[in-house]
Amino acid sequence: MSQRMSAFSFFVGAKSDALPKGPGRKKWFRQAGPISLAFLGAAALLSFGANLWVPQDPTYQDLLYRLVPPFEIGEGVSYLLGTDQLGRDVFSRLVHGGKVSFAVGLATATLAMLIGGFLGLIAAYFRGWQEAVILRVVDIQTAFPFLIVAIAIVSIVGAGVNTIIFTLVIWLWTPFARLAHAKSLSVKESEFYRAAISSGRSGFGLVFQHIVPNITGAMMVVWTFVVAQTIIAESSMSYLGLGVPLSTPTWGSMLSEGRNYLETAWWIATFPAVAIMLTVLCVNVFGDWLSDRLDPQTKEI
Amino acid sequence: MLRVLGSRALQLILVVLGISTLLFFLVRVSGDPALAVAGSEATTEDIEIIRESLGLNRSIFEQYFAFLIKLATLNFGDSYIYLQPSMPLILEALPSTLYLSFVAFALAMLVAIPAGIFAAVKRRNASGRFILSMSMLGQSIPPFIIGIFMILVFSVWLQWLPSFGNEQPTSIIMPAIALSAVLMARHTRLVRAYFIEEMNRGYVRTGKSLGFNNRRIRFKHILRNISVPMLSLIGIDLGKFVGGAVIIEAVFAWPGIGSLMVNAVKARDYPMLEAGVFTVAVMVVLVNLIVDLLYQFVDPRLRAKVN
Amino acid sequence: MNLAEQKVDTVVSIKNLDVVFNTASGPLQAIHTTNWSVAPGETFVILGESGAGKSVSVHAVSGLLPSTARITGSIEFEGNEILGADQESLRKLRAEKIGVIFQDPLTSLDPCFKVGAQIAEIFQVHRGMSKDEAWNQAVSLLDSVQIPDPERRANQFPHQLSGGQRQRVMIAMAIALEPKLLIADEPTTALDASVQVAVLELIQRLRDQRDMAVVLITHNIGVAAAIADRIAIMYAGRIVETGTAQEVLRSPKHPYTQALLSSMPRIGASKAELLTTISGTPPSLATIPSGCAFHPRCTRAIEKCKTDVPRLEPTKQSVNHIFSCHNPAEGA
Repeated sequence: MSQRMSAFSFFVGAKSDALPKGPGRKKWFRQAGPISLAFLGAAALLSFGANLWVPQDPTYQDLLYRLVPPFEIGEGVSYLLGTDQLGRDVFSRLVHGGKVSFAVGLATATLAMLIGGFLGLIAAYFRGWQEAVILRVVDIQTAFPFLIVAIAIVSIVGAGVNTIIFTLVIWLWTPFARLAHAKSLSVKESEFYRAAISSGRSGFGLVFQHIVPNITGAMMVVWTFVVAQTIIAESSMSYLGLGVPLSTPTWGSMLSEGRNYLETAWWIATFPAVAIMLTVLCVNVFGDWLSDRLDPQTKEI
Repeated sequence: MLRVLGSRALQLILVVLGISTLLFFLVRVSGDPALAVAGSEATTEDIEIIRESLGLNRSIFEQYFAFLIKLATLNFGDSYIYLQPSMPLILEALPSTLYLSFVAFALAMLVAIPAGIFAAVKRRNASGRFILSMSMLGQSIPPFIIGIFMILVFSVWLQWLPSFGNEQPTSIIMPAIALSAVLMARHTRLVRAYFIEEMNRGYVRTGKSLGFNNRRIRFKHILRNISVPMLSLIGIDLGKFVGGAVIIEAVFAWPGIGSLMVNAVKARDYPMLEAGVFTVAVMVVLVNLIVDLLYQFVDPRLRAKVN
Repeated sequence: MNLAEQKVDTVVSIKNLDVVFNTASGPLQAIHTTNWSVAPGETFVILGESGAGKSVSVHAVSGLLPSTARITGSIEFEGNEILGADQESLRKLRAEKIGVIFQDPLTSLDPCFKVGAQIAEIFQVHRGMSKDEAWNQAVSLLDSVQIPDPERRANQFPHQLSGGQRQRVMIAMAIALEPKLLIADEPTTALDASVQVAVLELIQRLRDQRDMAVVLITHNIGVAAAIADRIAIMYAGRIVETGTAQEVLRSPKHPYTQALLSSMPRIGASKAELLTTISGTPPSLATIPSGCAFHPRCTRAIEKCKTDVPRLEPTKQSVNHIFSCHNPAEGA
């Protein structure tokens, strides 16, 4: 075992024996993965279709109904989760806010997987200086605090969904690159790969036919954990005002507004906080479930 | 040992230089800092004057040369917001950030190591599994949300602790807990996993065959052995910790460099930002240097190679 | 010879030993009604392929089986039953009276401590010595296992020693408290052939000097031939043949022993070489064949072998040479 752990195990924070396995594990726990996925799917669908069903325009301000507590029926208007300091409906904002979280999470993780996976394959395929450069960059990035980089990039490029995705992708490609590199190297050691080479095959056809299928399972597992990381990072950036413009509701910016009203209106911050927690927890539970099935060894890298 | 030190020092210079240079060019490419300084109501002449005073009318290479001199002398210019040299402002806020980071880190380790060992030893019991589940939950909650919930409970509801600033001795409690939570959860899992791995090692079996009791095997031998991989992880984590500190400082209005930098972004206060990024880069590389040196000390296999 | 005398003559004696592992997929029996004993100054070798249960039976004595193991039968140590004795006194007894050497000396030593400190720790814990006293004792012990320049070696870490030196350190640790029984679990398997001989000679010399009983586990017939006074052949959790080294090696009775020996016995023979002469592979614990476990690979198998487990019975020539076969070759 190498003494220094890879970015991946660092990232996932899990190693072998992470959860009790086998018959000792409760039945409901084995179903936790699919249940989480169903919950996430429903939440994402409801968010993306928010325009079709939520009771209010999330940006509509009604100063007559400022800071209405949740579960109270007003005169002719009902605010399920209350209203914020500008009289906007917290429930509608919460549903709309999910759009940014889910969109950024899915887009970032997918882009990062493609880019990181590609660079990892290059490193493993060519070895040589390509490998040295790529792994060195991965090492340096791993040790550097993400939010500082995000601050620097946002200060230069300006806030927005694209900036967030760009920032997160140039940050989160590293675990994919390291995983793709490590896995491809072990595939290259294998008998069937050598057999393919000795039969005269070479080049990228070989890579796509033999290496790519062998690393997709592990990459999918990392992908889910990166989605969770991305959702946390996006909400952190939005909280700091480094995210999308304030006109678009996001869970992070709702939290940041609610922070100033904690004393008088707990609900503004609490509901988006619960939304973030539940979403991240579900993604992590699903990822864990997935890794048990697709790639039991990845956790040990 | 000297060679490691030398190569690390070189790396420090390269990383800091690289990051600073990147930042410098991106800032110049992305728009005119003078506009940001002047604000929306400035006239064309005002902007021209500001541009001249900031040296922005010179060629980019002259500017870069001037920037390198600034870097070497640690003088990044006056902050646009505070109208004072930015580096001293950062350095003034640095102890506050280090204080928060250190307390949070110590707290995380003080909890994670015993909890991880307990969860490893009792891994088949309900208590061990409970700790494992808690640590998984802890990793799913972003630190700033923990901060907000703690404010709700301990400041608003129970009114025990101050919700912002660093005026009272108790002010550190909530920011430190919020900042340490993720690390605590992660390292509990890691200590547990490493510990379980080590429990199957040959030297543990040897210790048993020699009639050593469990306490000796666990706390003298296994703990000593897991300190090797733990240390390298701690090196990576300490760097990330600074990033986590930024947002916790924002939540608790903690007067550190994180708060300064977040405000600097919003005001496009580049001198402040450059000084901040520079300081963080130096700190990250320094921490890694220290960890690397400790690593040589902790792992006899490496120590032998170096000497 | 009466019974009382015999007890004094035996360091350890196991009778009707059964070991069952509780696994997720149900209980697995690793050892079936096994008997053996060993006397002071005697070397008893248990020979068999991997998975035959060699290690399990001796580690039932050393106490190093995992907690999932259920041990039944009897284990007498110097005449006292130790199965079911309380854990604390058992731990003390094993520390003082039983020394263990393992296959891989590199992983068996703690990589983070100097070898001198690891030996000294034994004296500090069990003899209450001061750090300096224990260290000096450790250095002289290293000298007695023939490590040259012991002062310098004591200050080194395990990875700085050669494989043979590490195994000598392991032996030093095992004999530090002058045990009555030395268990050597494949002590030479991880070593170069040239070093194997030296380590075996060291074990033999220490046995003679200290009048220890030695139980050595190996899959290597050459090792067994080099060191054994008595040999037991194990197959699928049972002893199938046992006797003096000469009896078992010169006139093997069990078809399995005969097949084993027909491979060229020499020190350093690999497992693969051993297996080439016997068709088929040894059974796993989960799929032990009925009757005589060896029957699917046996050239002399008859109907009865598939259903009845053969009993261990003495040969015509010697009451101590015992084997279990329904259909032994002529002359048995």
